[in-house]
Amino acid sequence: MTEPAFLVLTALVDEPRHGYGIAQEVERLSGGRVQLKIGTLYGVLDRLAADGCVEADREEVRQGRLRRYYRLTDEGARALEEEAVRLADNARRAVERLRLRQAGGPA
Amino acid sequence: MSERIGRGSVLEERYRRWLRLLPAPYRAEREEEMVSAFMEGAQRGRAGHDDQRPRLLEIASVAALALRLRLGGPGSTPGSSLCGEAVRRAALLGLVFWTMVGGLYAGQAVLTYGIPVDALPDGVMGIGDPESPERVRLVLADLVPLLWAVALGALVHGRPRTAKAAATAALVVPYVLVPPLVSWQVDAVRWACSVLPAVVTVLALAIGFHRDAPPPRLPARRALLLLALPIAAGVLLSVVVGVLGAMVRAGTVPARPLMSAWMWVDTPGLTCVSLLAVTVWCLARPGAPVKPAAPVALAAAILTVPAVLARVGTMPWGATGVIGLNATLQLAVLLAIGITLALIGVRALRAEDGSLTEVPGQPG
Repeated sequence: MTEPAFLVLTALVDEPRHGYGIAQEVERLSGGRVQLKIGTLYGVLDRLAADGCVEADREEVRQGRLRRYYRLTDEGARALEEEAVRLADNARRAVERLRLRQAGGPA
Repeated sequence: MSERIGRGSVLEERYRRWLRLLPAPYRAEREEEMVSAFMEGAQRGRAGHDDQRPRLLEIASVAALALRLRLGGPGSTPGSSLCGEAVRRAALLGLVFWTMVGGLYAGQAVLTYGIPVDALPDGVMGIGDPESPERVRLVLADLVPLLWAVALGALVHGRPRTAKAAATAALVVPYVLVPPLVSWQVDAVRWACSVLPAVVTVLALAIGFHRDAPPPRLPARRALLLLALPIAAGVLLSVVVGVLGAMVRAGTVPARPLMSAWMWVDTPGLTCVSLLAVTVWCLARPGAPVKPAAPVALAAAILTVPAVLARVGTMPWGATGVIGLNATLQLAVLLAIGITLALIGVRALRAEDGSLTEVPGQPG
């Protein structure tokens, strides 16, 4: 799973969001490091929708503009959890080895 | 500020213009929400616009999305999927061809530089003194095209990134080692035309195997066969060319009758023969000329365009006799092939996707 896809799924965990809402949340989650361009965002959403990880929730018209909201599916939640566990495991192993190195153990 | 980026603003109009890059059915489905998301970002001062113009990265993201959709990404129409498949097959066919050429060059390098001078009847000798930097550079330039084989191997083992890197190196490095002699504008045009077929192969590889493209991984046995056959063909050709060349130089065989054959085993000639073989295959396949052969026909049609340009660009215009006749014949064959393949491809596209200009789910 790519980082943008991971962040988009994470952005949808708490509530359905529309395109710009997702982009904003991704920026917040990544501490401003990942700023999804709209074309990129919709490419990611298409891919996640094709994999059954997200689906359209509802549509709203605000100030004459269409907002389509997306929500995380159960399948998407499962995929996100698996990826989060995998990343956390990797991070834990990296931290353990770094501590060993700092303590003067085997590099 | 809000007027400048509000509804119907110049910024919105310009962004909508860029969205026209997207396929019509996708635009019908997504344009409004994409515009909405973009303009919301603009109103809140997000870095996606420059008051009146969408920024370059924003445009690039739309262009990349358009390319993926037109080449078989998620959400693309059956026609776009077929186009994507055709581009990927073009990359694969191109790699098979350049792998054969790589085998030919490598075989010729071994014959020219790797065999003791008096082992061949006429003492074939390469340029530069043995072990001189010039000799090393020339030998390397002849061996580097084997990177096409590396690219093909990587691709059929499901590693498109490695394939792209190897193919780019195979295209560029020989010209870095032995820069082309392009002192005149006409030379530059000839050279550019001659490299077009390889450039198109690399481009097809780069854009066809995007992140959403189906993985090209083949079973190990088929992958090995696909790799071994063109290398073997290239090496065999190099032996035939080398032996015939040596015999001509030794005076055993007269040069004139072999001139025609020569013109069909250099790169433009081999391109012509290879594309002709693919065309015959497409026409002879069961169910031809539409369904099963469609992606291959379209792929070969894509490759025929640079082949025609390369043949025209390197045409020996002043030449008469055997050389002029064979070059004209090659051009005629390539044009006939191109038209045939394009017709098969267009029929297949129409059969596959009558909805190329329609919104899915909406009649007519």
